[in-house]
Amino acid sequence: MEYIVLAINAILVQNILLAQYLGNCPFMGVSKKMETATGMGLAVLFVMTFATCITWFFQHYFLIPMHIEYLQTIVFIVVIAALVQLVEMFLKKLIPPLFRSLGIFLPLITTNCAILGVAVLCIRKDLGFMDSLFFAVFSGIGFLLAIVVFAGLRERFEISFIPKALQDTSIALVTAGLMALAFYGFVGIDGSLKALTMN
Amino acid sequence: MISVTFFLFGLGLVASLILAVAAKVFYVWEDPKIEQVAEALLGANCGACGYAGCVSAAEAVVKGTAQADVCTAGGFAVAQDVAKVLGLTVEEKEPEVSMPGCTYGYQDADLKYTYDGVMDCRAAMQLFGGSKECFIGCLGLGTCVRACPFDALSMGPDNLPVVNKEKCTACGICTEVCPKDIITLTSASKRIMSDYKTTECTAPCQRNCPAEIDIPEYINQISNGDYRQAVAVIKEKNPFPLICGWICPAPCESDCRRNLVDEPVNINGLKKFVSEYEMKSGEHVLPDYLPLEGGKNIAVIGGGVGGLTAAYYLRRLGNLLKVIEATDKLGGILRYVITEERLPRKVLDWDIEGILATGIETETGKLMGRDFTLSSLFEDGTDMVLLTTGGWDSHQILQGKNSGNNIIPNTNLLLDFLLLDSRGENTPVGQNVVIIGGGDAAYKAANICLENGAQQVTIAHPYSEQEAVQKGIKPNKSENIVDLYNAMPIELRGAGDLLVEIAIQTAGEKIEKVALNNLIIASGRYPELLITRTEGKEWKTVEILKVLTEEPDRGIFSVGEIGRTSDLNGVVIAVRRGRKIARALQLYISGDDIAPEKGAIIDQDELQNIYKIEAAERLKAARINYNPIVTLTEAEVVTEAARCFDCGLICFKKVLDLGNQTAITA
Repeated sequence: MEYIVLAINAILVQNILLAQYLGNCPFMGVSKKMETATGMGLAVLFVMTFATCITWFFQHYFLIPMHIEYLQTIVFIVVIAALVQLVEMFLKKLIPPLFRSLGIFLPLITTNCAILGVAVLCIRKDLGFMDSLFFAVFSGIGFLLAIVVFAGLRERFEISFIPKALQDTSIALVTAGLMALAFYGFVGIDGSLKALTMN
Repeated sequence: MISVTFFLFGLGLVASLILAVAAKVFYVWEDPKIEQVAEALLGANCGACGYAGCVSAAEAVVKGTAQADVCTAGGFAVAQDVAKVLGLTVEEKEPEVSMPGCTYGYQDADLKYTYDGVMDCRAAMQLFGGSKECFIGCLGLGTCVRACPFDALSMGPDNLPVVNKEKCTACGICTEVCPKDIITLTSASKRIMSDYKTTECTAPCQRNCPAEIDIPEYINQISNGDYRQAVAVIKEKNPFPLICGWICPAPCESDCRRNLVDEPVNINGLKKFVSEYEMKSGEHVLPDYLPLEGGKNIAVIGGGVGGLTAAYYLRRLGNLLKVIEATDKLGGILRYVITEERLPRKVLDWDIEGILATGIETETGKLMGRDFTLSSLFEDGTDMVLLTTGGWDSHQILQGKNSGNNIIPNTNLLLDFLLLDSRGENTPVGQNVVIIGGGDAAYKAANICLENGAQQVTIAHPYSEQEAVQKGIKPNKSENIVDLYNAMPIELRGAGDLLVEIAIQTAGEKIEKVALNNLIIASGRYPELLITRTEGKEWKTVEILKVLTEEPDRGIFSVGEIGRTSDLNGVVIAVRRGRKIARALQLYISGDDIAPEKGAIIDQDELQNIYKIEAAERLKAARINYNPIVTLTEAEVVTEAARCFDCGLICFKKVLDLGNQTAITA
């Protein structure tokens, strides 16, 4: 039950893209086509999960014992970048089909703020390892959901009348704003569910 | 502070060590050529080649599963670059270009309803197949324009896509997204090879032209003042524009939509004007593209209209051609039968010169059976022989030095035989008569022969007994008439002025030898090949038919059955046959099916058409008639071209600016 609340919280209420405004770069950049948006979403899900696990490990076994929490950002970036490189090589060698579908997206999101953001959020929220893992997975799913829905909307721009001044990125930003408003409607669901489980 | 620095240094060091080890452990060898090939490709990732992006295509090329010319969009230049990387060579192909096949935008066309929905042709198509009455009309919502990865398409002012030929790479993406399938990739060769299809926008004149000339297009070019381009358009389907200008019966004019209003456009007069313009300029309009190498060595036997047309198109399709003619000059019936007043010989010479200018060898005064044989041609390196001996009544035409003294005695055409009988003139016949060809007329002739003293008549039917029953031919019960079915004469023997024996092959390779005194042939004209005979007292027909039967795969082709379909009643029909046999031969060379294309228009097809033109008064304008000997003046041509409705399948130009044409009525 706890994880259901966590899931609803991470996917809908605190959606990484639409509520926290992290990772807007790929959200705008690769959401023109459903196909690439799905690839990007899956890649984010993949990297986010790995990165959160390893950064949790670094935080708790190096940074905290050594009292150098102020180096969090730089250490996390280095660790995530190295990890993604490693995973990329690993996939290329052993799981070529997965590499072909995710390959070009992996380097793109190495230093993305959504990845770092979730890793840092887990530390700030003082989540345990399992909680962090699930939080990262659900955040990734939230990212995937938002970018796929957004790409679906953007594909329709192709066949709609859009005033010249608003074409392309402008209308995409307006749409993203409206989507964020729609997701704002989920606020409170997690609280009520939590209250329900408490009783 | 120092420990922190060390920590970060250590972290970086460990990470880089792990990565260095991983790079070794997880190393995947990639052919460096793949990257080089990928660089040579366009990089548009358009997918027109059928691979998922340029890198995949490059992999396929390096692996050998795709050719160097994999990039359809890049054309010859890119193929050359790719080939250079791989150390290969590529041959240049004729460039293609995308061609939208609709003439009138929705503002001019008849509509079923007003469309006000999603601006995409594929969406509009969902509602009763689009708003236009015409089922193959362009919906004009620009789906193709948006799909083009090379910015080669734009929407013209008349709501039809316009192709920028410089930018078009013939990748074929527009042809795929168009829900009406009306954009095609085309080239002159493709147009030479193709028939008009039911799903193509064609004008009635164009469909009724035996040569299938794109008439609206050349009239358009005339209106634009580009007379040479008009000739080029005509020559895509007819290499004899000037001759047809003089003597074509112009079936196109009988189907012209102006017939619904006043009189047809003087299409042939326009053709004559532009081809005469070509002649006056002294410079032949040659095809834009002529392949230089490759192809087959093809010998065309017979230098008439059919043979020259076939040679012209086979040359344009990239073969090496030699036309062999028995008489002194090329031109066939046009030269030796049609009178000088109807067709001046300088006109004939001009058009033939234009055909030969594409690089066709000729040999005149060479008679088959006397100066060369099929076997000698094959020995000399000919790959294929096309027989277009066509419509000669060789007895009469080849008299004199070219006849080779080889007139077959006691032989009649069935038609002549029946004609003489109907006039009450008896044709004396000997004891044994052989009739080649079947049908009720053959039986009628057989009975006449029996009345005139024949003892036995053998009829060699070209079809089976079963087919004869299906055709409703009643077999004659007379015991003096012998029926041979599936029969094909293969050799005729004679002695001096007498016929001795004919060998007829019937079903199952069985050869019947029949003694005969008289021979009657039902084909429209004397099949020359059958009656070319050897010299001497004891003679026989030359090997031609033997080669045909003994070596069926030797690459010998003919326009229809010898002597049967060559009985052509108009030069334009010979042109059609010539082009069709060229197409069939080209398909045979490439190993493709020579059957007509799917969806090609045939006589029985019901096509969308209009039978009434409203607002007739406004359109009223008199035809400028012409005497075939006098050519129209340029002013008359401009007026006459403006009378053209520029028809599509059902659309036509509704408002005409006729200027001061009323003054000109020649």
